[in-house]
Amino acid sequence: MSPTEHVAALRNVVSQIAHYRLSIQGTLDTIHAGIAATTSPRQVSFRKPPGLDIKPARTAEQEAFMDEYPLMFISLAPLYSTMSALEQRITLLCDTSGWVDQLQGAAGDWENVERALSAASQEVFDSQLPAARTWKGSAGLGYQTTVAAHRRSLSRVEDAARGMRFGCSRAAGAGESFYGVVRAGMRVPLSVYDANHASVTLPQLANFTQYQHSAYQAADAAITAALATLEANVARSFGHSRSKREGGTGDPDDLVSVTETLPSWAAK
Amino acid sequence: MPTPDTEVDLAFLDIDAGHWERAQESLRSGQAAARRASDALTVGNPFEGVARAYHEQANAVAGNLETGHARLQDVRDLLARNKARYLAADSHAKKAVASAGHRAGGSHPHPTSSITPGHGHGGVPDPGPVADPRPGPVPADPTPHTPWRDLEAQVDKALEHDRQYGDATTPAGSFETAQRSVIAYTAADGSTHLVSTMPGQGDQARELTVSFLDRDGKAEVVTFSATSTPGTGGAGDGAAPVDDGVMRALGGASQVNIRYVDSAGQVHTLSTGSGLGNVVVGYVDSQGRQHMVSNEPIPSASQPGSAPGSVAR
Repeated sequence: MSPTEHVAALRNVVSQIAHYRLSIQGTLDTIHAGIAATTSPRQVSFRKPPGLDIKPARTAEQEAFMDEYPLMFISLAPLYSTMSALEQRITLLCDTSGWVDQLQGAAGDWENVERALSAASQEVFDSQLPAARTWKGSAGLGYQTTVAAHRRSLSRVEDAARGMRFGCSRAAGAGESFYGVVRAGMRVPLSVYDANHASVTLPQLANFTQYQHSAYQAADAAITAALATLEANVARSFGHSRSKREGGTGDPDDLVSVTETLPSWAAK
Repeated sequence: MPTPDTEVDLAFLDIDAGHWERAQESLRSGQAAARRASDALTVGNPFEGVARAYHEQANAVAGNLETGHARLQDVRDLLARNKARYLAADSHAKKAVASAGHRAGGSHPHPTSSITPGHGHGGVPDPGPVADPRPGPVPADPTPHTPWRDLEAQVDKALEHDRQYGDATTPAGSFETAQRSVIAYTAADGSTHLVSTMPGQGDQARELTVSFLDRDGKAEVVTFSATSTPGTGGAGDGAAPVDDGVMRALGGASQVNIRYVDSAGQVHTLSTGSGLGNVVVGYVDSQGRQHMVSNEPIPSASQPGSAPGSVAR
């Protein structure tokens, strides 16, 4: 279980966003220059003789673009900022994605902890302790009580270690899902033509002041939400271990607190 | 070293201790693995929440292991202390037997105690209860009862006698006709108490009764009254006439009960079955001789000179 594929896709998205961000102004300039070179303003001078103006008149859409062109550059600054922040955020998520594999690897260490506890339990199993079986009197009774308490503690900590192993795997799974969710949430515009009206063929000012800016903000918010979900899932992943350690049933939602019936191995 | 008259085979204590040691080694290995597991996750921003959730639980389990390792050491220490205590008691009892045998020959008047099992099957002292570890984390050491020597010293001090030594085995030395009596005992919690028929020496008793089952299972009762001539008693079947021999038999008691009425008329009852540990009874007989007996056990009654009996001095 590894988020490698998602991380690679996200790095690609970051690259696309950066490329787009760096190309916006140049693209708009090119469009502007093209329209200026190939069209005439719709208001034709009466002093010019008919037939001398060979450029076709601009369409309403071209005329609107040329009018909004100066304002577009003013609106680009906040968009650039939002895009740049998103790029950095995704890059950081990708650069730190190693934790998923770290958790998966930690599961192996917890398995070793389980083995060690199992071995310890075997050592003090009933048949192994002749004194515990035969010691008479109040001291013997006290020893038997002690042995039983330690066996319970060993068993519970072993359960808790097992919970950590499973928890690591679950948390790693939650991590992979997280990167998948973030990847899916990257529905961001990557062209000046992207707008909320399919019929529009030229960039509109509203693209940059409203639609595209909102789309990048929404992508950022999706990451924030995914992180919150991830943290909740990870906490839940280790809830089994916590519950077992605290003497509960193992249900991650079982918020049993320590009572007098719990094992004697409270952590320092 | 199996000893037939101990309540636990000492070799078994060693075997158990070996298993606890290996269990401890396993825990140490588990601790190392838990540390590796905990250190494995090094993520920070923006996954602090993930790291926190993981480390919180990982450190808790690692802490359990660390505590567990220490607790298993406590068990090993407990076994070692019990073994040492058994060995010491065994050694002391053997010396006492030898010493008693020697004194029977007329030399060395020295205070000593009867030595036979206090309770249980064997001839070594029961070191007292090991407390249930719940809810506290540390399995408690067996409650250390005040040694008989210390109790005897307290009794001795309380009696404050002019040290006329006599023979407690003669009828004239009977507890029943004692001028004054003192009982020192340990309670279940290890605390030491003194009850006497004299003012200012512990709890003052105006009537004091000691009853017990002797080695043959016979119930024996002896009573001292500060206000009247002491009478004889019985405890149902097997009750024996009271004479000095009864106090001698305290050394063989498997169950010692003390009943006394304090100066306010309130009755107090103590029993080795419920809270009474080591007991030393001291008294000054009608002829002013001081006697001291206890329920201190000895390893074996078959050894030379090991017959229970009080020694007067």
